[in-house]
Amino acid sequence: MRRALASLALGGLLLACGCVNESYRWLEVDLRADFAVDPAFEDGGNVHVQTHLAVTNPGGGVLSHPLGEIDRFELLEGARSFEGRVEVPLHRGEGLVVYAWLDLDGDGLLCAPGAEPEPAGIAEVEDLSRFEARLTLELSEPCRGPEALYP
Amino acid sequence: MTAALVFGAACGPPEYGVLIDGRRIPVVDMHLHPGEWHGVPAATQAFLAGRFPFPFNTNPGDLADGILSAEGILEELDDAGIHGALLYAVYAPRTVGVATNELVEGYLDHAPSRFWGLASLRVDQWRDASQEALDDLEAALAHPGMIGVKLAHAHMHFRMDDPAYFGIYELAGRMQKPVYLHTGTSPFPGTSRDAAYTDPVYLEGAIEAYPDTVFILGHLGFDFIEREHRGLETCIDLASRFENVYLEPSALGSPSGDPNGAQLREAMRRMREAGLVDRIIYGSDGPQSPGFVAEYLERTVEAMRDTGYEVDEIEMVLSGNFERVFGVEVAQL
Repeated sequence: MRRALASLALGGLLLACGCVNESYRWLEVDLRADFAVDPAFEDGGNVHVQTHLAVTNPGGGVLSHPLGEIDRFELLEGARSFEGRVEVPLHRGEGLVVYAWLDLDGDGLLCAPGAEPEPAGIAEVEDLSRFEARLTLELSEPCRGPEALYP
Repeated sequence: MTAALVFGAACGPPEYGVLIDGRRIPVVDMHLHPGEWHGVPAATQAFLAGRFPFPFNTNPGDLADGILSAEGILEELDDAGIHGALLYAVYAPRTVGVATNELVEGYLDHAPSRFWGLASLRVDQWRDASQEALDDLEAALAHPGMIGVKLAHAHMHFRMDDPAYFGIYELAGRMQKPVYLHTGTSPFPGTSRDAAYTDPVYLEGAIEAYPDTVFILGHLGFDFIEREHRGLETCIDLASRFENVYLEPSALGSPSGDPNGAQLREAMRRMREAGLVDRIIYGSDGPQSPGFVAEYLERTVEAMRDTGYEVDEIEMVLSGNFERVFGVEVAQL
């Protein structure tokens, strides 16, 4: 009996917590992204990837802005493609943009002072309603952050 | 230097300045934030509310709107014995929010003998609207009280070394308006922590390319995540090699982040050792919470006394350098 009451109380608590999360909405997108390095650059080192919302706080108010980082990760050595599930936080904004750069010197920094230029690129998923997307990013822009390439 | 240090009286008409060795020294706080609670993103509102002490955290919006108002800031200044202050416009919708140039102009018009302002601009549509943003900035800088430009690469999300944004420095130099730059990491949600957005070494190209533009390196590259000096030596190096670089030690010595004052003492000591006292401009990064503006001034003066600053040097830091760099007249006491 005591266990049943405890379960009931826990259930009630979870139900209450569930209400708190009602305003959180996620869209799962199966994404494949291929990364092509501009021949002007050496092709070596690891690709660093960032996923962003296309717009955060959409609606045009003062707090609306392009981009808004969702996640970042580094591909395994030599990998030039990524395939996986991206969770887009629709409660924060809308759209999906993928940004990447190539860490030629392996220092973990895009274009540290005095280092050779490293290429970056960006692409936007055109249609999220299919829950899957395929992108090709050309890494060709030296030393540019995502904000300098989008919109 | 053994004479008592006396700050403005708590009761009666405010007495401005700090009294050191019988000499009253005027003070300007070059780093204060006006604003409105609704101009702050929800995640940052939650972050700020969590730092307000009870019972202020039960209604943080009311507290913030009160202390960030013109009257609220003047009250904090009076309590600190500070006559003049520099108020910042901010366009950082991803992180700390938006306080428009027009909002700051309203404060300047409210108390023109007490406030100056730094204008800013949006950079989040730079590829399509950079000229429009620069035109808006130039228009804001035409206000007689707008004496400089505020930038924060980590909050606004643009690289310190990207030449696409160097038009801001060109404009500031042409209009002889010093540029204040947040350097170092920041604890606010959504802030970029990448080196190119936080490490002042990435500013060297711009500093060298625009010798007629004054660069004021805010927070001395302090790491507000790990709460340790990370960019201090870089800032000192840049100021030593470039005459257009100035240094501002705000926030890093706050009571919560630097409880025993060691970080602030270290900064003040190293800058003096490097012969850069004539490059230091005092700021607090207030108002933050009631009493912060006064406490930060007290802690900074103590740090200078502890590290051997002469009275003349203290005056340079607290108001003399500000007056010279910004070309304004500070009210004499």
